[in-house]
Amino acid sequence: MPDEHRAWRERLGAYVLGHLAPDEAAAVRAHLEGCAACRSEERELAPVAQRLALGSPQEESARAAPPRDLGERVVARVARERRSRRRAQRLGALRLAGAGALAGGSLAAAAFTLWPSGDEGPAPARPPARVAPAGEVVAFRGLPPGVKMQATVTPRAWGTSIAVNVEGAPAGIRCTVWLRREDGTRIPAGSFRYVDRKGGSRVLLASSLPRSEAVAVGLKAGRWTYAAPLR
Amino acid sequence: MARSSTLTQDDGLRTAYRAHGPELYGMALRTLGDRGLAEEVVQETFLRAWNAAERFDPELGSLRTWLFAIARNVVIDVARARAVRPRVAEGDAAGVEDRADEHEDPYERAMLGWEVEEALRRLGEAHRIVLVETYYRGRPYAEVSAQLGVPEGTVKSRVYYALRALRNVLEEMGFDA
Repeated sequence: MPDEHRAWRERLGAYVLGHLAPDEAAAVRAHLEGCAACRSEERELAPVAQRLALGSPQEESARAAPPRDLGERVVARVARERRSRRRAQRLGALRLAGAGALAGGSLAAAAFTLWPSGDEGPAPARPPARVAPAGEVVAFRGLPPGVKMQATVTPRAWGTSIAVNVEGAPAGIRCTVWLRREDGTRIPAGSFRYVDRKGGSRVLLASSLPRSEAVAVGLKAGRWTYAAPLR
Repeated sequence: MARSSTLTQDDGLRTAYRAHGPELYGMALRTLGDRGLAEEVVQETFLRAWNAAERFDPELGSLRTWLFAIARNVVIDVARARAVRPRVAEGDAAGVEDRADEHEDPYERAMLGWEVEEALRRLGEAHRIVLVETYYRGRPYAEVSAQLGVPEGTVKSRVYYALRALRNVLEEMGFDA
């Protein structure tokens, strides 16, 4: 390549970044008019220069390393999903078999004992009389004004019961509740729709996760997710 | 079948995580600015990838490109569900304001920001430094030339070769403009 042409081409970086003095930029523009190779080079570099504007090389967060155990948590989460699918398949088969063999009442009882460990179990609404004294009351934070949500979390032999009180939410909004483990995984506790009435809705939910393994209660209401940390 | 066993076996997942997990985490952290959410994005990305493993075809694109396409959606889902505001670069470089508005989706912007930062990190030091000094810090070429102890013309040509190299790195990362 002739040296003169190379000298023009090597100015294209400063040119596309807008770094050249007006007369030098005008000279480059004149050269571009008559040089297809430099025009094509300029077309390749201009979008790169535009991308630079979106970055901020001082941004430290992108350099931060993930926690050392994240890879194993990824593997564990997929393994759990795999197991829960197999379980759902078995449960489906079991319920089909049960429907043929059992009368309605005992089928309902069988389904209830199976549900708390399943995904998206039904939300058995119960009278509020059965709150155990050992329950811990936690409030969800960051709620919209006028909305109150709290949960009473109680250890049980079969897992954890979660009594949820909601007040002032949009009527009919679907709420999903889970317990979070220390590794960030979620164990479902069920879902319900909020009934708007004086004093709010109170719903009793259940999860198979032992209370000692739960670090927070999570609640998704419509598009919004809230968490309340547990002791 | 080779292509689905990449992600359906635990060992395949581990290999894929080692190769791409830290980078996915960096992208999510840069975009969402929250370590917990970034971890969630990485887990959810691999979960969705595992779920759709039979749809991954290495002949159509790299595993990295595929994972990043999934992660992009996960970031947007997570951010919208939690109403997290994306972290967009401060914009202290000259000319940012009038160029920025072509990427109106703030998540898209934040992810493109991460992409260019990642590409800059992969450049050689000599190339990176001239772009940081002349472009991001807006310093005159004469000053940068004195700092580096090379003629001003060399700073100028290095800026050219740096942009050229940056384009190559971005292309490896899937950039096609």
